[in-house]
Amino acid sequence: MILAVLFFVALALIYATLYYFNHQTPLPKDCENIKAECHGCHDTGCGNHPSHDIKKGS
Amino acid sequence: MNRKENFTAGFIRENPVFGLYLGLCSTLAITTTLNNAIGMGVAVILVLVMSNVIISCIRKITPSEIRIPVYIVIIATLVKIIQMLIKAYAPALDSALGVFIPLIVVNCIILGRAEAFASKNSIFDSALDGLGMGIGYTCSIIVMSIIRQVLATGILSFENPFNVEQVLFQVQIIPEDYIISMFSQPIGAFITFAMLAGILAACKNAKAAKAQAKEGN
Amino acid sequence: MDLSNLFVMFITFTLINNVVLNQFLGICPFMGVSKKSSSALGMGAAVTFVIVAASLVTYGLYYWVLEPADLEYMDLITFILVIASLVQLVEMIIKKTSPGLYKALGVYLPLITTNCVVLNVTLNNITEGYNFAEMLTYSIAIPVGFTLVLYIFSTIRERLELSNVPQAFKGNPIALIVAGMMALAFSGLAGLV
Repeated sequence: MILAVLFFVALALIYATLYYFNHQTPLPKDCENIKAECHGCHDTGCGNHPSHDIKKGS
Repeated sequence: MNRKENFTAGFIRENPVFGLYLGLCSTLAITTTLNNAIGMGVAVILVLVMSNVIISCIRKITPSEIRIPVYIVIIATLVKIIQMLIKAYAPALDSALGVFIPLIVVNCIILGRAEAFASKNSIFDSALDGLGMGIGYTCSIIVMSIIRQVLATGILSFENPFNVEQVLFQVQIIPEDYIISMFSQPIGAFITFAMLAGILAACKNAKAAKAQAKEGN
Repeated sequence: MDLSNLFVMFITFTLINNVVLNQFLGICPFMGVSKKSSSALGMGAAVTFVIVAASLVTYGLYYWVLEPADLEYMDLITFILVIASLVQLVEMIIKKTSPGLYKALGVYLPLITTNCVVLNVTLNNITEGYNFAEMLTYSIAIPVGFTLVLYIFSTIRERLELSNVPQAFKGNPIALIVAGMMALAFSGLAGLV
């Protein structure tokens, strides 16, 4: 039981760290406006949705 | 927006299935019978309300940079719990819905509401929003499954999900010689969905045109 | 490892039991990325890559970590976290090493993270009890079928933009009717194997 919780926490931490680092790496030079082509979709699961942009403060 | 508008947003105005096109995979796949639709709808309502409440409880202490991973973790845990409960108490529903119960994790509605609403509002408002959206989703798939089941088999029936032998009601609406079995196949799913989405879009356009005409006058 | 078996499996999951038209998975990216045929190919490449990689990792994780430790009930949570982490990792690597590759398929990677197809493939690898070769064939056949259907759909949709569609059906509803017609066409291949 403890093993399951530890495993779960470890995976969640790995994911959260990778997500954070991924969003901190800037896009390569020509790709800033690619996201702008995607519009009107309500799928917040997609990482291109503006809800994923890291804002300072909530 | 006041509470009542929030609650009823999920029914017609911002219908997650036919208006926002979220959760399409599960809608098209499981609406073959009324049983499946009601089972899936109840599961989604439970996950939606619980995830909205939990996320609203912890919204002040989650760092905003990693909130999406946190939401995914919470939703995955809830869905696994619901899946195990369904496997235990309603195994017929589990074998009918198959892989679409675990796929509630990636159902865009749940993450969408968590992000758009529960992360910014109080616990009671979030629960109400979850309930509203869940009921909107359930009603949409019930309508679609009634149409598909009646046209494909002519029978409208509902069995007790906890005890499959017990048939709660069964009505033969269209005689057997006139059924169109195409509706139980993928083509039927796509066409029914497109028709319902088109009807909703037409109603919205008519309303918008009326509002514009009123403003013009 | 019977090669003819694997070949039959490949044909089945590409054409007959097609992931979009028969199993109804991946409809969200199907509708979202099919407005231009060039983006359809990029999306297809990204999906293939993610599904094969995620399949390998989750398959290994299940049989070497979860099963020996009696943690099979953690499969759903493990898989979704592994898939999401993998995609973040891959996106980070592509951003840093190859801007050209990022331009081609990096934008579609986030759309595949929380996507029915990947999770379904990884879960099915376990519930259907595939061995390694079958798992590999399955994970390649599914995205190839997806890419094929997506490409065909996007070429039709490009033409549809220029047609005279009733106002209420513009956009997604008419696209869904087209998808239905494609489903009907593909269901004719059912006798192939």
